[in-house]
Amino acid sequence: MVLKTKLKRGVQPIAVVDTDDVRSEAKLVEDARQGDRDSFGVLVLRYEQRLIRVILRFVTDLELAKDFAQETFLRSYERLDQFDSSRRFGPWLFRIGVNLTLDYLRRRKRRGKWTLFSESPSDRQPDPAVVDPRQHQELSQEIRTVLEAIPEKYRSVLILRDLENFSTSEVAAILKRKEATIRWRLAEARSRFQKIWAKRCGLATTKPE
Amino acid sequence: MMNCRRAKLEISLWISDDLSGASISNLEEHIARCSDCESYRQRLQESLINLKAGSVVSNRDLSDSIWPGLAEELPNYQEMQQRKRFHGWMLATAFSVACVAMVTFSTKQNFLSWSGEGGYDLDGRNFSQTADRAGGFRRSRKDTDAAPQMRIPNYRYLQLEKKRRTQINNKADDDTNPDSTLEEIDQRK
Repeated sequence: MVLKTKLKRGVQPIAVVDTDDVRSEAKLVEDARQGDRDSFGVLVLRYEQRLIRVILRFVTDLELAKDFAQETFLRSYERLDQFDSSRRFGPWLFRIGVNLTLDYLRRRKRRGKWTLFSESPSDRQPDPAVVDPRQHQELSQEIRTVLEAIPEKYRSVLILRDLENFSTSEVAAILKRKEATIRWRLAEARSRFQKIWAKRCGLATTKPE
Repeated sequence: MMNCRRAKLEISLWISDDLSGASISNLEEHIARCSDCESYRQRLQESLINLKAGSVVSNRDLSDSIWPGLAEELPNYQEMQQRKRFHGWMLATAFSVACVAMVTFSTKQNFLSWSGEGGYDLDGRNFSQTADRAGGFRRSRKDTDAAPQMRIPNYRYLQLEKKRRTQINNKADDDTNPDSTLEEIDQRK
């Protein structure tokens, strides 16, 4: 594990946080800056599930994704003074989380141990909500294999836009790129995904231009 | 008139409403005429449906909150900010002191070497001695090792020099020849 902190999980809450708190993000951030931890706790509860899910798109291992999410919250807490309260908290938080995850994957890739999307699907428990889990797992594995074949800069856009349903402007804010760049990458990512998917499924590909 | 390459790029954005209004009508016209692009649109949509269907993350995995563990680790925010500010000031002060010390030291060395008093080089030798040695070295090098320089004759100078030497010789002859009379010397001049 490369994270600076490996935090405890599953212990009893030391602070009770009101999950129905209706304060605005800017107010919560301001209160957290004044030293109110519970305000930051409200932000954590608002964003943790989505953050873990986004990270899980990149690393697939649930425990690792939770570690990254904790590290992301810890870093964002340490940098609250750098946050511009006139903007939304979400994209800023996701930017930290996505950068943290991508940095980790790049380091692993450099070390030759690249396992992005390549953990065995048997590591994850089947979802009882799915009628035929085996069929779903096969499809998931196939999707992961195709996504693996797409370069990171396109894959990130595809995941954030099509799997997490962020708008293109949000994706641009998270990846710190211009919206036009994100649109172009999105088009390219979808086109590449379709080509590789068609090839793997043995479908007819597009005619050469 | 839109070409298929352009159309396919725009189709990729159009299927998720990421295309601006102006381009949509042109694209729809193109797709209505071009079966290849229409087929591409269908294949792209199918592949995206599969992408979404195969990437479902179950929310039951995410039911445990990370907040309790995180809350234990969070430092006191205001103390942390004070520490950060203190570290910032410490760094800035140390850097400023180092800069001032460097400037003062180099200024003193320059002044002493300029005035010819005191001032020591890195080996602990007096600056003026070092300068003398360097000068001596340069002189000796000039005398012995210097590459021969091309001599360009200055004809005007040579003529003047020749004339001057002739005059000196004549004068010497006049002064040393005991047979010459004063009248002869005057006539020659």
